[in-house]
Formats: sequence, structure tokens, C-alpha cells
Amino acid sequence: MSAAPFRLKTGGRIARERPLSFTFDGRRFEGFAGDTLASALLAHGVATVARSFKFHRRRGIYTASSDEPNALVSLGGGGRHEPNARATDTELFDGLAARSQNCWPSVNFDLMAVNGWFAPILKAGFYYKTFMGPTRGAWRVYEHVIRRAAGLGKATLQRDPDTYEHGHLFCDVLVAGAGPAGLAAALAAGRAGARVIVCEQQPRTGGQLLDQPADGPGDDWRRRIMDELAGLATVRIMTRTSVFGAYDGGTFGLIERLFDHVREPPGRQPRQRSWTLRCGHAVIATGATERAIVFANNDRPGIMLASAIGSMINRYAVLPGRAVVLFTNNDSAYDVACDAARAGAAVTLVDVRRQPPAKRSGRCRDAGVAIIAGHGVIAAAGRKSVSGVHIAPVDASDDTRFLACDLLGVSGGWTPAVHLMSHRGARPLYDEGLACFVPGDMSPGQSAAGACAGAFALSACIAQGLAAGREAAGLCGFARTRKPLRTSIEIDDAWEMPIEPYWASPVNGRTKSAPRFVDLQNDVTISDIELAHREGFVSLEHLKRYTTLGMGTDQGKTSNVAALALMAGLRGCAVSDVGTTTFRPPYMPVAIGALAGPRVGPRLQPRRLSPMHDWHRDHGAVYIQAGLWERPWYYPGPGESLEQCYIREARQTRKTVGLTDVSPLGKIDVQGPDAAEFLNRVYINGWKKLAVGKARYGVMLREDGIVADDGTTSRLADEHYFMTTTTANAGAVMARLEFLLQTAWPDLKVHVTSVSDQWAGMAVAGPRSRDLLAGLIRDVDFSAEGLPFMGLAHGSVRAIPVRILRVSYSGELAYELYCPAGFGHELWDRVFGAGADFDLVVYGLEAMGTMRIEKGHVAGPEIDGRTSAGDLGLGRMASTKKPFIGSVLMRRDGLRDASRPALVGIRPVERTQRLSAGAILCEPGRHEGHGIGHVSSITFSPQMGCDIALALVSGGLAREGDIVDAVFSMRDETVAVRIVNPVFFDPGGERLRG
Amino acid sequence: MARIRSALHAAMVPGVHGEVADEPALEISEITNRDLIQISGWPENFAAVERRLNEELGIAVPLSFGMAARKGSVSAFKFAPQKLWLTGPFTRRLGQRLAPALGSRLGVVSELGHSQTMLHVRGDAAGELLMRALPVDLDAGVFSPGAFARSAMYNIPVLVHRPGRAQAFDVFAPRSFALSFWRSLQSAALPLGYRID
Amino acid sequence: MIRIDCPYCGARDHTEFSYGGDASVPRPDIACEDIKAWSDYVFLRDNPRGAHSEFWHHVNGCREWLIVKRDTATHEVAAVLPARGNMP
Repeated sequence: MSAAPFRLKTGGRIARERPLSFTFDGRRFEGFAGDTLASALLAHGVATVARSFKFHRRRGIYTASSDEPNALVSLGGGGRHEPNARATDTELFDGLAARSQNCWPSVNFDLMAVNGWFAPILKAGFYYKTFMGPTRGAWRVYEHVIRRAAGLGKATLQRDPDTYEHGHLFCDVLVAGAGPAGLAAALAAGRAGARVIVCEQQPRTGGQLLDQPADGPGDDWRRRIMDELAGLATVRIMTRTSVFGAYDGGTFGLIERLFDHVREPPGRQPRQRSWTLRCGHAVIATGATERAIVFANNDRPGIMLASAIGSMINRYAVLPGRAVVLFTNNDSAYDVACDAARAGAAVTLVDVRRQPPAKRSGRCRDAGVAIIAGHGVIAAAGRKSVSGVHIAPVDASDDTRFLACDLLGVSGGWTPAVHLMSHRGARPLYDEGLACFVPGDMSPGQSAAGACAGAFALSACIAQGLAAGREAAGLCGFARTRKPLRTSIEIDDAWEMPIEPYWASPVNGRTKSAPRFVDLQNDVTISDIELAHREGFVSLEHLKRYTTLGMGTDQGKTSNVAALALMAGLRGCAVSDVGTTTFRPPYMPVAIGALAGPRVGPRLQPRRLSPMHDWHRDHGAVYIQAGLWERPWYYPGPGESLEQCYIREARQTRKTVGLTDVSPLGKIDVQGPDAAEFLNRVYINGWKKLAVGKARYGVMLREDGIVADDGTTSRLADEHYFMTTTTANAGAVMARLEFLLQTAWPDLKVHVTSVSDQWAGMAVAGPRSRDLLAGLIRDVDFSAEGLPFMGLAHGSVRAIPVRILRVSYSGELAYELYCPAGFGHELWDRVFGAGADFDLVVYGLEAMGTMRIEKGHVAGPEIDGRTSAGDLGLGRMASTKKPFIGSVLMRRDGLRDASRPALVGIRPVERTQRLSAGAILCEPGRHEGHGIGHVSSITFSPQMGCDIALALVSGGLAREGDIVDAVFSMRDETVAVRIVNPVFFDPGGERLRG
Repeated sequence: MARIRSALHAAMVPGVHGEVADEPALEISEITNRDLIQISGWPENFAAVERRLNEELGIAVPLSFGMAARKGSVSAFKFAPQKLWLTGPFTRRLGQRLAPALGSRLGVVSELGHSQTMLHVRGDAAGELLMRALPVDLDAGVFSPGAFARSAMYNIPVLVHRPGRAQAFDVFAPRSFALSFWRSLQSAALPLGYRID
Repeated sequence: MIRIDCPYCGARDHTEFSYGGDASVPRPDIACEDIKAWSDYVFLRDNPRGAHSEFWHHVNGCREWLIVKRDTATHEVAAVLPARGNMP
């Protein structure tokens, strides 16, 4: 492999002792540690690295930063494939494999370039205009083709093998950016004693100092400051870390790219980490981006921002051309001209200003640079890459002459990176003198320093940084400084002459039809902007969306201001009158995986497990997610289906005895002198007469009279109650009770405490339940008199205290056993063991559901936020003697309407027919509108031998006996059903009260 | 007394795990034998509750929000107005002793000794590990010895406490969430390397 | 991310809290039988741009209900008070 022809023999900041090899489109190249992919490709003279979005024009490397619009490549393979990576900020590593995008078969020969022939019709808004009227149907044909051609890189559908993390950070002062202003701010704040976090997007600190020749005064200063920062224990510097968003409350989002710069993360390290950082005050020192000037064919490979050429020379020891033209309207390009000439190029500098800066011109002439003042570049020439430029005097665009060149650097001025300052809505202001937007009013908790505040000279950056850092620390309460803060740098780079605003070169007769690109990434030209203006899309927000300018992955960082200024020109108003679009996070593309961190797959949500979870698992339970809980659904025998299993479990329970886990129920400890009064206010029924040692079923309403929840509350002692709620509503009920006690009834002396995790709960149900428990819990009298229905007892099993509630969800003779959760597994095991003599069966959620439907018990599907107590047949429970939550609004007309759907049971007329949950009930043959009701819960009833369901039907049990249709449109299904009493099994409750 | 089964039964495997050169900067263990009760009182006489705690248990009062008070093996965490948690060995029978000592005129007692799983996280990387998920500043200058915070990690409500001077924290998570909590904490600890005794 | 200065727990992310709606609406007494008073309380709310007094429940902290004075346009929090004792 030959040496890279454009690599300089000395200089730069690369590690020449560490060569690396990489591939681009399968071709192998060499570079060095410290290179980016872009610098290494330019070293080898690779001009075309991409094809543009719409027209598939050849594109080369344009910048040397993360603002790059053109040089987007795909990196990695398999699950690590990453599209739209910027070659200019991709750190080179050994074995890096990059591929061009958006081209076929290759970037150098791209068949899609035919799109360029359609440029005249592929203007802004062309979809809308093209597929209108008679051609509207054509969209269906072309959409497929256009969709495939659209976009840049392709995402992978393979699983990402890497992990990502998230973390939280706190500090007093955040410094965003570690260029000269940021480092100075960190120093000042750190010396004052504040906790400082400095975030630098690049692998090393230094910012624009790294664009200075290596080992110069810039590096001296940088090393001194870094040494001192290293000695300040409260200062933390995070490199390869971008601040992507500024949010309310002094919160910032950060992305730390831990291992993007190597082939794969070592061991189990995460690839990237996102951080949520909260600070007292932030110093924004994010620098400024150079922008270009627009002219004909300004997108050829070999055309770069002038400062990017400077970066290539001084950072990477790459001079990407031998005959260089620089085109500018400000002083910055002169420094690049000198660097290029000293590196051995033949350099011509074209300045639109008639009066060039004196000192810089002198330095340039000494280095051999030719300076042409008062002229501008009208057009670039060259097909595969730039071969020369046509220049003309600023006021005589037809008087052109040709300058041959193989590298053109353009500098149209600098745009402060005001994004982080603007994320919270603060708008930047246009500065006429600097021809750029600078920060206006700052968002609270932020200040700006350096180039991002419009200070482009190094000494000003440093001075502003020191001041901002000191002020920020002071605002956080830190004002201690050991010695006076003074630090200076021996570089005088202040502008001698002001910038002359110059956004686009004029066209002449020859260049009239050549494209003049404003937004390179989205192929938006000046004629698109003119078209938008002609069609009335003159506001910036409309211009952006109509032309898509600024909407690419680079967010138009190098092009937005020019577009703004051009629209201002068309509208004949000042730039400040056009305004800016809204700045929104993220500042640069952020991997969604990094934002998700560990919350993917099984870790998306936490899971809650019962204290008996291990037992269920060891006994073959199949689980179901019920909210956050993982609950046993059924315990299949060999080869048993769900339906076979739950039918067996329910049948056996009603035959002998069943055991089920009810630990997830919401459980609330209610204690205090006013406990009974409190229960009276929250439940619809009365509680003052409930004796100690007794339980009662209760229903709670919302203030609007709709049923909120139901449960059983028992009185453990005079002022001590044990409340249960449904599993799903446990959190909501707890929050409501706390709300009422703290805001509505602060004088009530009662406390509610969640004890859901404190108690394990299990139900023992069935005709033999009494015998089983009497044999197991010897210190309790389980006789009908000893422990009547809705009674409470306390016993023990081998030193495990057990609270026994004789309540029933299944409709069987049943008991709920509660013990402290740490004993749950053992108690369950003992009950199960004792059950061997009674043909005990363990049953899950499905069998539990089947039995409660057989008994007409309402549950979640009936308590769905639309039903009143009356609808559910519980209206008579409501006391008329005391006020309770919802007691007034439950009497409103809407909830008393007799046609409201009310609870009934339904069974298919033809016994063997199956029902569908969610079916709409309609009058026979009149399947229209919302019908007359709906099916809420269905099951196959082992006791009835057919499908049964609970439903809500207009008229309720007044229609008992009627036949209606259960319609399930998605399966084109209609089943004739009969309305029956919802208590299908043991309507008299004899089994229950035995 | 019957044995309390841990929610992390068999989930904490002894040994060194994850990326470690030699000695891990993290040690994680489960705290067993720690009872927990909640005392809830009334605004007009909560000072009397605190005095009673001082008399019965020797705890220094008045209690502050966010700072635990410890006497021997008993600690008090006042987390809300007129509400505190008390931890100590089960043998102290805190609930049984204090409920009659207070009577409902002063306050009510709820037994919560089985409701939390408690972990001890110790080592130079302890704060760093917890702050992967905990949005509370655990820096020693801000979260000093005795400090505690109720917050959430992995969408699970937790209490985090720095019991003493060392870089070590107690973390309480509700029992039903404990295994999920442990799995998430383990994932975060693997890149740092940790030991379980 | 709105930072809420809980009087018992310190400054915390709003994600530790549950939003509880307008806190400036007086709640009828439990014994009030006036259907209009309850209906207004349950169903009628202003939607101001600017200063708003609202409930937040510190569910993952102390579990106290707080009243937060927040600007609905800028998210600036002017004050945080315990709800107890500060009800309209």
C-alpha cells in the first residue's frame, strides 16, 4: 500500500507511531490513531464519499466536525450497523469498516443519479403538485418507488448486541464545551470550590485550540489549564460526551460515547451511556460553526468550509489539495490560507471585500498567497470533483475569469451554536455587525461564553469563560478564589476588518440554470427558496417545512442562517424580522437505545412477584401479566390446554377444595380513632356497626358517582381495620385515600398505610375447606358458629401467625389466610401438604375468574370507569343515612336513566355455541350503532356445561328471559343469547354460608 | 420464630462477578433480621411521640426530615410530617412494645417487617452504582452520614440510607419488587464488578 | 424535567410525583347535598396560560400531597407548599 498522497510529513496531532487500517466500500486504506474517517480518506485523496439525498449528486467531505451535511456513511455490520454516521467525527480505529450510502451499485457509479435529470420537477413540494387531480391515483404506484429511493442510510433489523446504560448526575456548574471558553469557565468555577462537570463532545478537550498548529501557544495554554483542572478534586471532565438537550429546572441530557471508537465494547461494558444531569447553573461554551457562501455548483467534492481545511492541516496533517482557492467575506480564511501555503499548496484567496485586513494580508503574502480582493466565486467547475472556479468582480458578475484548483475552501462567516440556550424557548437575536445570531435573553440558569456568544477572538473567549465560570460558581454559593484569576494566551486572532454580509453570489448568463445549494443534505437550492416565496410560504416555519431545509440529520447547522438571510432578501426585510425556527433537543442525532438505557426487553417495566412465586414456578405454573404482577394463570397437567386445565381446577375446587394465591390484592392498614367515620365516608355502605372480628364487602365511588373499586374490609380491633382493594386499583385507591385525608379531611384522626407487601394471602375454597383448615390450624374453631360467614379469626401454624377471613370470591365455603409475607411460602406449602388428604387442587387466575363469573361477581371488566353502583346491581348497598364520596352525583339524572346498561348474565341459546368477550349486544336482526349493551366477561362454566357471560344491557334484568344477539363484527359472528340472572350457580348462596 | 424466606432466595450467588481486575470496588449483601414498623401520629402532639421514642429507645430527638437518628441497632427515619419508620432487630419486638407505649392518642403502629427487602451496598463504586438509577445526589458532601432519601430506582419505590461514614448504603425495596430490583441492580453492577459474600 | 422542591424530601424530578390537577377549586364539604356544587367541583376547570396552582402527589417519596404554583407556559415553579393547611 502506497503512502497517502495528501498526508503531510510532519505536524498534526495524530499518533504516527500507531498506524491503523480500515476499509471504505471494501477498499483498504491506512490511517493513524487520532485520525477521523474523513481525514484518513482525504489523506488518500478520496473525493466522492456519498451521493446527495434527492439528486444523487457526488458529494465529498465538507466540514471537519459533527455539523457535516454530506459525508454520511454506514458503519459496523450485523446488529451494530449504524447508518448516517458522519465521517468527520467518526474516530478511526483498526478494522473500521465504512460503506457509502444512498447509491447503487457504487458511490462512484450511481444509477440513481438519473434523478438529477428530473431536478426541474423534483422541486420543493413536488409530491403535492405532481399527484393531484387525475394523477392522484398514480401516487399509489409511485409511492413504493419513491419510498425505496428516499432516505439516506438504512437501519438494520437485527438485534443490537451492545448494552446501554443511563445514569444521574448532579453538580453546581455544568460547562458545555471544553474549548478555550469552556476550559476557562471550568477553571474559574473549580477554583471557587464549586462541583463542576465539563462535557466535551470530542475525544480531547481544546475545541478551536486544536485547529491551531500543534505545539504552539494554544497547546501551551491548554496543557497548563488541564494540569490545574486535574488538581481540582471537584472538577470532572467528561470527553466524548455531548450535551444534547437543555430542559426545565436546570436539567440537561448528556450522551457519553464510551466505546464507539473501538470495534466493540470490552467485556460487559455498555457502548454508550445517557445521563440526566441537574445543575445549579450552566455555562454554555459550545463554540460556533462556520458557514459557506452559495454559488453555482457549490456542492462538488473538493469544496469544503475553509476552517475544515485548517483543521485537516493542523489536526490531522492532511492537505486535501495542491492548488487551493479560498473564498471568503471575513478575516478567518486568511489564517487558513497561510497554513495551506506553508504546508506546500499554491494558494489564492478571493475576498469579496475590497479592503482586505492589513496584517493578515501581509502574513499571507509572505507565505506566498495570492490575494484577489473585491471578487467573488460565481461558479465551481468540475464533474467528479472541483477542477476550478469562475470568479468575477463583486459588482460585475459577467466579467469572469477562471482559476484552476483542486480544493476550494469557503468561509461566509460564523454561526454561534445557540441551540442549548434556545431549547427552553429563549430566542437568539440577529447581530448586524457580526452577521449572525447571538444569544438574546438567556434561559434561567444559563450563561454563554466564547464563540457561541459571538466572541470569535481567543482572548475574548478566555476572558468571557473566566467571568462566566466565576459568576456561575457565585450563583451556586461558591465565591472562594485562592489567587486572582488571570490567564492569557499568546495568540492574537481578533478580526481586523469587519465581516461583510454576503450570502450568495449573483448568477450570470452562463450559470443561470446551475443549482446553487443552500441545504446540502436535503438538496435544497436557492430556486426552492424562491419558489417557496413565490407561493406564499414566506414565514420561516413554512419555508422550512415546504422545502425541507434544515430538516436533515445535520439540522441545517451550516445552512440555516443563509436560508434565513436569503428569504429576508426576497421579502425585502431585515434578517432580524424573519426570526429563527424553534430549536428542539436533541442537538445532534442520539441513539434511541442510549436513551432507553437498560429499560428494554424484560427490563422495560419492573415485575412484582408473590411470596409464593417460587412454589408456583416449581409446580409448573404458566404465568400471566396482570399489571406489574406476574401471576399463576393455570397449572397444566401433562398435555393439558388452558381450557382443559381451568375447567379441571374449577370443577375440583367446587367438588373438594382448591388453593389459590391472592397476595397481589391491595391491602391497606386503616388505624385511628376516626377510622370508622373514614370508612363511612369512602364506602357507599355503613361501617359504624361492624363489630370487631367481622368483615364486610364494600364499594367505593368516585366523586362523580361512578364505581371506583370494591373490596372487603375487616375490623381487627376497635380502631384498627384491614382493607383490601382490587389488585389493579391498589395504587389508585391508596392515592385517593391519602388525598382525602390530607386535603379534604385533615381533621380526621386516621392513618392509612399500604401493607400490600407485608402480607401473603391465599384462598382455600370448596366444600372440604373447613375440614382441611380445622385439621391444620388447631387453635381456631372453624365451626359455622365459631367462624361464621364474614368472620375473622387469628391462629397459627407452627409459629406462623395466620389471620383468617371467612370471605368467598368463588362462591364456595371459603377462607382467606393472611400471614406475614416471609412466611407465605412455608404456610402455603403446609396447606398444600395438608390438602393431600382432601384432593386439594391448586388453581390459578383463570379458574378464579371462571368461578366468580359463575357467581355473578363484578370485577375489572365490569368496574370499567363507566358503571354506577346501580348499573352493577349494587345500588341497594348505598346508604341513605350518611354522606359518602359520590353520594350526591350518583343521583344525577344521567346515572339514573333507566335505559342505562345494567348487569345481567347471558348464555347462548344453542348450548354448544361459543361467545366472544367484547361482543356487542343487539336486538335480534337490528345490528346497528352501539347496540343495546356489551359482553364484559366470558368463560366456559364447568357447572353450567356451556359458555356463560356477564354483560351490561339496557334495561338490565327487566329483560330477563329475552333473547338478543351477541355480535362480534371482527369475526362476522352473531350468537343468539338469552338474558338470565347473573348468579348462574348456587343462587341462594347456600354453599357460601354453610 | 419461623424462618423468614428472602424474596431473593437463591438469587444472590456468592462470589466475584463481572469485570474485575483484582478486588471489586463493590460488595453487595442482603440485610436479614431487620424489623421495620411505621409510626404515624397527629400534628398536635407528635413531639410527644418523639419524646416517647427517646425515653423507650434512647433515640435523639427532635427528628429531621431526611436524616436518620440511630441508637445502637435501632434507627428512626422521619420521612413525612408525623410519620416515621423505625428499624431494629426482630428480637426487640418494636411494634409490640411501642403500640401500647403510644396508644392511639399519640399514634398508631403498622407492622412492615416483611414488606421490604433490604440490601447493603458497600465500596468505592457504591454511590456510582446506585446513581445509575437513583435520581438523588449521593455525593458525600450532600448526602452525609445518617442521610436517607425515599425515591425510586427502576420505577420501584426505594429508601436509600447512608448509615455511617463509609462509602456504604442500605437500600430498601418492596418485597414484591425485590427480585426485579435485584436483576436490574446486577446488570448495572456487572460492568463495575462486584462481590457477594 | 420539572424540578419540584418537596418540603420533606428536597428538590426532586417531577417523575417521582403524580399530577393531581387544579388545586384552586374549593371542594364541597362531605355533607354538602347541592348537586350543582359537586358538579362544578368535579367537572368544571379553567385552563389558564400562566400561573396555575396544582396538586402533585409525591408517590415515590414521602407520599405527601403538595400544592405547586407553576406557570403553565414556562414550567417555572414559583412555590411548593404542603397541601395540608393550604387548601382554598
